[in-house]
Amino acid sequence: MSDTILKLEDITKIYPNGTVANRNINIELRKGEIHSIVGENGAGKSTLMKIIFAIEKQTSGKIYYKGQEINYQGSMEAIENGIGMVHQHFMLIPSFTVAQNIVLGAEPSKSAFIDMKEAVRRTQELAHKYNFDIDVTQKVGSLTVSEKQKVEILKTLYRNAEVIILDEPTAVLTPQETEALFEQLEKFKETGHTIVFISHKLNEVMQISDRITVIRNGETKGTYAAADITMDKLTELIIGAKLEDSYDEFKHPVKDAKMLLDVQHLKYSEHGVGKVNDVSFSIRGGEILGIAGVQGNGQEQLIKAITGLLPFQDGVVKVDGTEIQGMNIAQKRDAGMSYIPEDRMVDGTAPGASIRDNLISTYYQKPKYAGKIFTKDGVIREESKMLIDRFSVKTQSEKEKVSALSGGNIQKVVVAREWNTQPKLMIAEQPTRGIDIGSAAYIHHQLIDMRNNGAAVLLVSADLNEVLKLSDRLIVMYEGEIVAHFASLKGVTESQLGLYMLGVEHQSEKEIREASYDD
Amino acid sequence: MSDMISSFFTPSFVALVIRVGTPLLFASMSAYVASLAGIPNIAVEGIMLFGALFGVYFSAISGSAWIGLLGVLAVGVVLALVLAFFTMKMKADPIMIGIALNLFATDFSVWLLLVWTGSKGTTANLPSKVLPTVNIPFIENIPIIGTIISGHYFLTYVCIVMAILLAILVYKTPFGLHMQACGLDEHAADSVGIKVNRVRLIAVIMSGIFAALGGAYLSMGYLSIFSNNMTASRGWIGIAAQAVGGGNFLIVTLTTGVFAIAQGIVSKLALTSLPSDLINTIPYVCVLIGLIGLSVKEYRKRRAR
Amino acid sequence: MTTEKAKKRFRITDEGPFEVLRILVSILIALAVTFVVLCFVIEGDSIPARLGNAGATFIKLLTYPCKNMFYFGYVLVKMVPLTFAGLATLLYFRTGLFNLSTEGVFYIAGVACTYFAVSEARLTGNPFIDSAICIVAAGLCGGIIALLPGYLKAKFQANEMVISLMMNSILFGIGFWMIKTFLAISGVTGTSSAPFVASARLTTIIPKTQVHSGIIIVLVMVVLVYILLFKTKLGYAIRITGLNQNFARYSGMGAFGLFMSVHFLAGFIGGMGSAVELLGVYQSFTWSQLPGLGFTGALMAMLGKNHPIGVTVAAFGISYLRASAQLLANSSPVIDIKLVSVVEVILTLLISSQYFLRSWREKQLLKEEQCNE
Repeated sequence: MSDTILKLEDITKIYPNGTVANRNINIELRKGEIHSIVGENGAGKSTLMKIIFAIEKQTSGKIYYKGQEINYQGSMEAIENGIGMVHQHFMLIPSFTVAQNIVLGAEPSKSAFIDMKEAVRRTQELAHKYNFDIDVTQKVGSLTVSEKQKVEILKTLYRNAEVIILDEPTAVLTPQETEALFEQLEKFKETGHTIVFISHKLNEVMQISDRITVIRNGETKGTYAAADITMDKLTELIIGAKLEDSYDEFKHPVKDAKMLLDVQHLKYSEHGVGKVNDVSFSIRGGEILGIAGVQGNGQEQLIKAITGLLPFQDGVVKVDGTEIQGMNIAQKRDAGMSYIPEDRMVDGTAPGASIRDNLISTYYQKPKYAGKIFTKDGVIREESKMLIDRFSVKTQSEKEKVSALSGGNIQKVVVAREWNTQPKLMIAEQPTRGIDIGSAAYIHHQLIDMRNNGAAVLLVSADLNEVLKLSDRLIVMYEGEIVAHFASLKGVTESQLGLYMLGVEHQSEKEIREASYDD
Repeated sequence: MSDMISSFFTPSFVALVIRVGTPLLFASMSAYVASLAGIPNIAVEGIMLFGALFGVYFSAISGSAWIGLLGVLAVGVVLALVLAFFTMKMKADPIMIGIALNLFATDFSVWLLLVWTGSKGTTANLPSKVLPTVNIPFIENIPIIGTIISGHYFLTYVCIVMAILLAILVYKTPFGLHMQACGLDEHAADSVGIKVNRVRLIAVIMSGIFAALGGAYLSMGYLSIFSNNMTASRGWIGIAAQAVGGGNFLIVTLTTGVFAIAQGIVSKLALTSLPSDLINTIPYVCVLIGLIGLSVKEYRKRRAR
Repeated sequence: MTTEKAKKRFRITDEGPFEVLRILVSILIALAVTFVVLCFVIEGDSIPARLGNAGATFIKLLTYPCKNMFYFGYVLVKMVPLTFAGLATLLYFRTGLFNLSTEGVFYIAGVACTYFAVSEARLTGNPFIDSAICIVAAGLCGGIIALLPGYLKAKFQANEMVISLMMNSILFGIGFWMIKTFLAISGVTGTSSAPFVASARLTTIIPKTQVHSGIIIVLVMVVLVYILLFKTKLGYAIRITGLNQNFARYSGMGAFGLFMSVHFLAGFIGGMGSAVELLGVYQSFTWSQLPGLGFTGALMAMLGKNHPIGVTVAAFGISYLRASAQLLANSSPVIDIKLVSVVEVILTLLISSQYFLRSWREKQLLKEEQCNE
């Protein structure tokens, strides 16, 4: 049982832009085990998997497969040699049938033609063999997410994979589906397959794994047998024991603060699956409310339903007493909302436009910046220069394209624009993701300034440190619901939060209801 | 008038529809196969025009219609390679390349006409050859059926055979599955080891050949000369048929059939006193209505979700 | 700050200069290919004689319009409709729309113009007002016609490119029928309209040339489109939407109104262009085919990088060659305006290629970095 099938030795990956994704990673996979790799978002798990699967090339270090050093030139070679991967974003073609998807690229054929009957027979047989209850003649587009995942797994099995890498497989599954998947994985163990399970849901990892490797900041923090380690210890390893200093000293109390955001009974579902289930909370001026949670637990839908990027479905949202749920985006902004979106390159900027143009997009219609027809270029230029200066965006001129800036500076452009409308409510979604520490700290101070000046700030971040440092109050989301509310962060520890985030614990109804103010 | 209507239900009308429908089906297949593999080819019209011109030219200088046909194939392949090279290797927008090739074909064909014949109108003074008409033994003597399926131009039969072969290629062979995969999701295709660029190159070359043959049909059968702008937007109809049918070859073919019938009606009505310019728009109006209907349907589907 | 600026030297690999270099190289290649094409068809007994003849003809082609004012004026006349069509199309492209209906709009708006221009009863007799009536009528016609694909796009996200192509053929059929049926000289069957009333026609503004007042109108339009794009709220929304539609939505810009406005404006400009061309150059409406100006407009927009000034320059360059070729058509059996299509297609192919000269630039950048180290 304990013979090594795949071994990573001192794997280091440095991207051309200098980002170190992996540093001296050492992992040994044994044949027939379920080996979990856990770590926060951005810890370097995905990069590592891409290296094993030969999508990316390591900067240094060696990979041994079945005792021999390997140096695959592409994922095709990895597939041919028995390494399979189930990507987080499915590589499936919806209008093809299950059988077609499975055999694509390696079709059984009779002379020049595809032997579709044989393909159906073989795939159906494969599905039976591994107890997948699936009709292979169905179109993939009509399948549920968990069924699609089964198809992805079958694709690897069809190609005789011995090592199967599953990248966040449970992120898209319901608890019942997750259970079924786990039973499946157990069976693979019996058939001698090696499973690499990537996740940040700790209770699942504890349940399924034989061994667990923790990665933090691109480095391995040890491999443990699942039986030998406690949940608390694991949480600590993942998140890191040391909390950075809080920003408390910069925060000033705000007097007579009104309630500026009130969300009541917000619901949102996609294709009939509830993503946000009856969420209620409120924020006063001079307050930063943080939302903690593992990604994919409804935070994104919650924010987008409030800001209007997703159509509103059910519930009430008030900004400073005005109901905004029926409004379009422009009206919501007029009502006092500002929004730093999750993806600065998709929603947050037009990278091909100048910094100047990117700094005014959300308020260029206001009388200060434009008349009935014309824009007031002088005012806009001065304003852009002021914003570039105030937010220390590193650039030669306001006419430079945003795409020429670094990530941190692009994010400063977004924050500067959203700050400039003096919002009553600032919604900040992953405000510092993927940017340098200096810019991140700068943006944090801007958010605190807004808070000190009486704005309500709603902060969502996958970075737990960020949430803990900035927030005055905190809610934790798990599977579309609020599972915990902390009116003060004094004495709250990260491992305590971790238990809520990972769905291990749940506060009482009464405690959670306190996330909303009564007035 | 009732004579006119009853003439739509005669074997000779069906034969007429097949005659006017052949270049349309070539155009549709050209648009279809390229877009199926993920490289939209809107240069169909231009490639057809060049096919028509070079068929005449090569047959005139060689004295053989068959050598002319080989020249047509070569022209189709060369233009397809231009499209493939610039879109795949040089990352140019296929739409821009298509527009450029179309304009080039419209103008440059006239210039070549001038250089070769001294006139900008037609190649009437070139001794070009036409491809034969095929009378199928036995069948030609059967009433009705004989009128419908026998006695067409050679390329009509080529077109029908190619349509059948294309359907088999797309739906029955591994390569067909790969083409579909490349058009639907190139990353998914790539992830299972399909060589996306190679598949697309082959598809675009097929597209060029279909379009060039469609052109040759016009100048080496349907008519025996090349005349200025003789494709008369037939290529665009093919693109529209592709837009209606998408990846479904049966629907693309049926749509083409509807346009061919419209075109057949136009040919008949042209003999009446009705204004021919208005009559000529009937196929395009059909296409337009089809496209609008399609987008409204999809819009409703999106809303329903 | 100043030290940093001082460090910034002119480098050919910088974005601006590199773009200019790309265009220049493209022009050189396009002209070289034209020369080769000429070599193939030109008369001559031996290869050197052919080369000599081709060279002489080629140089003529490049210099002929500079010979006298009349010839140069002809360049300006040719440039007017191309610039109009380019301006109309660039508005679509800037918004991220692939609409090619300018071709059909040119035709149908020309018919609308003709409706007024052939009848004294519909005009006042004042040259200024009469031209204006015809041009505005054509513009309105173009704008309203363009609203149809605009609505289908804005409301149903219909495929605006194929729809606009079908519309071109339909508009041509309807337009040609109207010309023959209602606007021809009564009693005469032909393919042209009755002659335009003199007061509707645009006046020649440079003596001894054909340059008409349309050149002033088009230059005014270039300035107006520039102002629209870069100085107005609508233009700002157009640019942002074209660059990133998600960002425009996030910023609260409504797509429906924007798409409708852009279609109307582009249709209006296309329609104006048609009227200006007809009233400036033609005695009557004689287009018995689509004039091809709308598609050429798409090329102008592309070559001019969707910038009004760029479009003007591109239109001038192409018109220069077209005019030269047309003027030389009688002197040489192989020179014709259609030969310029070689230059046009090669320019378009190369300039729209993102990777053209890219690996050369990367090599240069790499070298520079090595030098710096």
